[in-house]
Amino acid sequence: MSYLEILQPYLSVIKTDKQTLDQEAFQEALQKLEPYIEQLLRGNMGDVLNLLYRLDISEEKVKYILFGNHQEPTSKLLAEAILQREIVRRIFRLKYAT
Amino acid sequence: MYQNKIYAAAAAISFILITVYGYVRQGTVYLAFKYLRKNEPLKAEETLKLTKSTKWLSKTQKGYYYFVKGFIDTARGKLEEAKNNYEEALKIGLKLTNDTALTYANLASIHNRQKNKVKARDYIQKAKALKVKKHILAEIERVEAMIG
Repeated sequence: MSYLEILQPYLSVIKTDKQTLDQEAFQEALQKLEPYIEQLLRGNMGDVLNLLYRLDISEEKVKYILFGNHQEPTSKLLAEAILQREIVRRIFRLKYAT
Repeated sequence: MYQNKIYAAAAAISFILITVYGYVRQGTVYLAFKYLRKNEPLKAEETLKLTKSTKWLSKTQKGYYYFVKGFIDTARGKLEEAKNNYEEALKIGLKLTNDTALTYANLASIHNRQKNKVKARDYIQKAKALKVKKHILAEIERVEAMIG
């Protein structure tokens, strides 16, 4: 299963470029994505790094999440960054679809 | 002519011996550290793995071997392993005070993540006791604020 398959049911709720995920759905999507990211981090870390690169998540942000001192688990922060980016991508796609 | 060949052979053998000695004593730690600073944890990990044994590494390199390993484990979310590696690095000793302080701060952060505030504060105090550069001090203070 890919990360997009996990996120698809949540992202598909966004139908217009004025919409976004509500807090509850965001947290639920995060809960589903986090174990997937955690598994990748511990196993094939290259897949996570490639994904972050592909999604154009800033290098500074990635550096902070991976090596910085923060209170949240690395997998949770990465999942959050990925989810936020995917929501923005979805909104952009809807906005410029026509 | 014959003497020149002997000199050339001696030079080649010396070069090989120095290279092998360098590899054994220095390992690939410095290169791995450079990758880490360039935000390439995977390359850092792969490079570090090329050092097959820490037994022959010089004391400084051994300390940094565990230091780099600690960072990689943190990135992978393996906090227990990271803690052990950072502690090992401190036990062996790091050349720069800044790196020692950063290791203390990282340990404090990990303990804080694991809800062990007492140990986290203990490590922060150790970090603060060292004379460090401004940006390291800022990081220590940031972790201290996080611990609360």
